[in-house]
Order: sequence, then structure tokens, then C-alpha cells
Amino acid sequence: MLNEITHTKSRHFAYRMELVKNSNNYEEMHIIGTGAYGMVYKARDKTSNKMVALKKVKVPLTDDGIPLNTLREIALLKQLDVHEHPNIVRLLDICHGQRLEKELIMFLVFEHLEYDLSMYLEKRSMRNFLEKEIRQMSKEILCGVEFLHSHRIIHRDLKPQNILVTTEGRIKLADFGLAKTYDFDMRLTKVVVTLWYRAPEVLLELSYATPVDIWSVGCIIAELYSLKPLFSGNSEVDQLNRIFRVLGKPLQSEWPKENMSIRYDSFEILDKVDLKDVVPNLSENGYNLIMSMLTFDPMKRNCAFKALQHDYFTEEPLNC
Amino acid sequence: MFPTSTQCKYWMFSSEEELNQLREKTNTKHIQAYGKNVPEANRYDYFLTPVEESLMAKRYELFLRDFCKGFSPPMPRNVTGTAFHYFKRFYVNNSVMNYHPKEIMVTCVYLACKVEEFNVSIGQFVSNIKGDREKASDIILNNELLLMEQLNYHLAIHNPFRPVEGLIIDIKTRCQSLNDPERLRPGIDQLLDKVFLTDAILLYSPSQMALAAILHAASKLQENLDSYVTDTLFGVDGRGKLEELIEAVRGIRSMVKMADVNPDKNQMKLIEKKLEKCRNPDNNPDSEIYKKRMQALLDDEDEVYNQIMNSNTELDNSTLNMQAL
Repeated sequence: MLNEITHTKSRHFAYRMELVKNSNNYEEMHIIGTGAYGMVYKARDKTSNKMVALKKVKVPLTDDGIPLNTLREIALLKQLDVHEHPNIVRLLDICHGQRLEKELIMFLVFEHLEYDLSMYLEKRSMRNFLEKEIRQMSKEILCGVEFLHSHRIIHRDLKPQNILVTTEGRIKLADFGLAKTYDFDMRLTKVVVTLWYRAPEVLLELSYATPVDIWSVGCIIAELYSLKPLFSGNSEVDQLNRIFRVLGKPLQSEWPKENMSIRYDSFEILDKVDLKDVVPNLSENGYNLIMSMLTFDPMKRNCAFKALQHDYFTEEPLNC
Repeated sequence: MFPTSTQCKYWMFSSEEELNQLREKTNTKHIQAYGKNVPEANRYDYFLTPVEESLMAKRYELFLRDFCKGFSPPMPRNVTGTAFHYFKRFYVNNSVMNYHPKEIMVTCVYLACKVEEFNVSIGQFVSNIKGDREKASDIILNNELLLMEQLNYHLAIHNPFRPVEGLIIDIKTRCQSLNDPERLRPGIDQLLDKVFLTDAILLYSPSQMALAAILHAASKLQENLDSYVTDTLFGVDGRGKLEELIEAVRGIRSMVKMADVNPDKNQMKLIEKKLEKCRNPDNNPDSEIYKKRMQALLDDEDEVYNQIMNSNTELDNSTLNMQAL
């Protein structure tokens, strides 16, 4: 069944490719990722013979043509790439498929990396990372996030699957910058989006900003230590329950007042555990850093710039 | 930040000569692709010369300016500036014989409206165009992607308007010798209006153009800002870069002076006629080939499409080029 889907998709893909001048330059090989908003293919750049990651984005067309948000986001992605930030995946090319009545397929061509952090974690499931490795990865993730935030980009969906790892173990963030082009509710595929790294304000459907990414990074750093997801909920309420179990239920006064679909009384935490028990072998500084990133109130949460100056990154490694 | 922009990295050229060479190459490439059957010696009887191409582009830059000036609702200046950048970039690598500047011109303005967040619907936009508005909106929407692609999706433009504001604030705070810097405005606007009609925007940074505009305005008022530039703006640390800047300001002002020379109207009409004959029918919405292809695309059938593509290739090799003789 999966083969069938893959097959028809590829055929469809090839057909579109024919119509386009410069996407002809890429020979699609196979699907490497089925994200919530589209497929990512591994492909070969015919001129350089290098492997690339081809991300297919479906852009809805209006009577006015290409949506303003998409144009601005593409312009920003191009602009960002000029910086060649070491912890951000390179955008090599953009091409477009045939313009149809109501939609347009765009191909974003990124550098291809063999591993993402989730594969990296899986590979390591037997042996823990060294403290200094975790420290370095955390730092690089935060550097990437800080770079995005300083350019007024919220990633919104940071998770091990879109944090790429080079063969040298360097971190590169991927899959950002098209937040307005495809909204949370405007999914291209029926893939269930993981809730595990979602900040409470997102789970509660409140307005949100850069702190949502800090929350995700907090969860990811914890996972680097324990090698399993910190909060693995299977619904919004379940996810919040798991969060409160570790971090404690926020005070009634902290609970947002605006049109809440989830009520404060719907949570009763009986079996509270401590972060130190869920994530063993955490240094005091590591614990403090993670806790500063996992505050319920986004306004009180740490920011990327400050987090990078945390003592955690300068203390002597404990078990290296 | 201009230094880390796509504009600085990809769309700043070293000299007018470099630009002209690129445009000549574009002209030659077009003729090689579409004029296989035209003898070398007669090629310019039929095709536009590089100079004629430049004159056409220039003509439509003037139209672009007037179109934006008369636009309703009134259009912010940065939209016009961005549209100029798009238009000029497009014709560095594309021939006016391949894509007619009247179509690219409006598409540039439309795309600039979106990127600069000047919200007008396509309906509102084409109500500013005389003639068949439905056709105009089809042309614009069809060309939008082509334009983006030819700009290599480098859509963010740094215009000189913000640096002008910055410099004016700086003059107000740090240059007491000039009374009422607001008097500079008319002179600044005069230079900036013209600078977009020149290649300066592909050669100089936005802040250099802003400074050139301010110095131009000052000299018109018979004021002197030299010591502000050398001592206050650059100071001791910037001494080394002063020479380069003076050269840039001089270059911009002399290009602007040249922009005043208007091409002969009769000559322009002849070139327009020549272009009507030699423009690529593939991209001409009034041509039969184009209409057939659009129909095929609407049907969205692989077969029909391929058929048309094949017959196009045949046409390319026969009638299209034979017409030339």
C-alpha cells in the first residue's frame, strides 16, 4: 500500500517536473520525510551530482495569485540564507511546478543530511551521550533558534525530526519559515502532528510567539539526557496532563482567562514526579536551564539569547 | 541589514560595462536561439540590437514611473522603488524580444505591491490599466511566477528611502551648521525620482544613493555638507573609506544627469514596431501558439500538452524563424 502511494506520488511528481525549466535539474530518488505539510524527497542535483533534499510545498492560489505571505516568506528564506549560519540548513534553490487553477507546487531545495536528531537518538538508545556531547548539541540548537528569533522567525515545530545532524555531529535546523504559508490547520497530508514538543500556549490554542520554540528546546535537551521523549501525550489534554505531572499544575491565577476550550478543573494531578527523576544524571545547572525553558507562562520563560549565557554552557563537564 | 541581503550578494554589479556586457550577451543568446535561419549579416534588420533593447527598457521604465505615480490608491514610494529593481533585474538576463516590457512592467509593480505589503486586489490593480482589464489580469498572474523565478526568488529589496530618513535625523542631531534640514526634501526627492531610471540601483548601495541625494539637495540650496560627511559621518575611523564614497556619490550624480536625456519619439515608435514583429510568439498572449498552449494547460492533460509542445518545436524550426526573412 505504501509502495503504491509512493509510486503514484512519484509519477505525479515527475509529470510536474517536466513542465518546469529548472526543477528538471533534480532527479528525485525517494521520499525521506512525510511531514504534516508536504513530502520531502531525496534527490540528485544533476549538475553537481550532489544529494539534495527536495521539499514540496503546496501553495494555495487565490484570485490575486500567489499569496502575499508566501512571497514574503520566500523572500525571507532567501535573505536568511545569505548569512550561511552554521546551525541552519542551507537553502540551495527554489523552483516551481505547474501553476494550476487553485494551487501551485513549489520545490524548496535544501542541502541533504543523512541523519536527523530522532535517528541519531534511536541509534544511541543503548548508550547515553556524553555530557559534553549533549552540551554541544544543546548549544548549537539554541544558536540556530537564536538566529531565527533575531530574524523574527518562529519555528513553531521544533522536534528531533527536523533537527538535522551532520556526519561530524553538527546541528542544523530545518523546516522553518513557511509558517504563514501553511497554517496549523491547513495540512497537506493526514499525518498526525506530534504534540510532544508543543508549548502549553499552543496546546491551549492561545496566541503565541518565540517562547514556543524555547519550550521545544527544553523538551529536546531533556530527551538528549534520557533518550526518551519528556512528555509523550496522545491528545492535547493528555499532553498537558503529562506536563503538569512533572512541572506541577499552574496556579489558578496563572491559567489564561481568554476563551478557553480546556478548563482549569479538567486536570487533577495525583502522581506528581520530579524532573530529576524523569531525567537522571542531570547536573544542577542542566536542571536549572531546562526548568527555565519549561515555565508555563511564556512571558517568564527563558529566551534563546539568555539561555546561551547560562552557566550550564561554561561549567566543567561532569562525566566526560 | 543591507550587507547580508540577497540584493548585496547577488544584484550588485561592478560597473556599467559589466551590466552592458551582460545585456549584450542576453541579446546574442536570444538571437542565437530564435534566429538560426537568419543570416548573420541581416540579423539586426529583424531583431533588436542591444542598444534598441536598452532604449525599449528605458521607455518602459518611464511608463512604470508614470503608472505608479498615477496609481489609485496612492502608492508608497518603496513599492515603486521595488518595482524598478525587479524590472531592471529582469532585463539583465532576459531579452525584451522574449518578454515584452509592457507585460513585465505591470507584473513587477504587482509583485512589488505584495512584497511591500501594499494591499491591493488584482481587480483594484488592473482598474489602473487602460484597455482590456481581464486580459491584463491574466497576463499579470501568468507572469508572476516567471518574474519570481527570473529574480531567483530574491524578492526583498533595500530602497534608499529609509537611509534618507536616517541621515536626516543624523543631520538634525549632529550637524548644527545646517538650519532646517527639512528644506532638503525637494532636492532629495528630485534625485531619487531620477536615480531609479538609471543603472545606479544595480551598482550602488541604498545608503550611498541616499547620501548622494542629500548632497545633491544641499548643493541646490547652496549649502555645504562636506565637513558633516568627512568629520561627523565618517570621522577618523572611516577616513579610509571616504575616497570610495566620494567616488560613488560622484558616479550616482553623473548617472542621474544622463537620465534627463530623452530618446527621440519617432525612433521609439520604429523600435516598438520592430519589436511587435520580432517578439517571441510563445510568450505573446495575442499569438495563436500562446492561446493554444493556454487552452492545453487549462485542460491539464499530459497528452494535449505534449502534443502542443511538439508542434511548438516544429513551429520553432519552421515558420517562426522563416517569418524573419
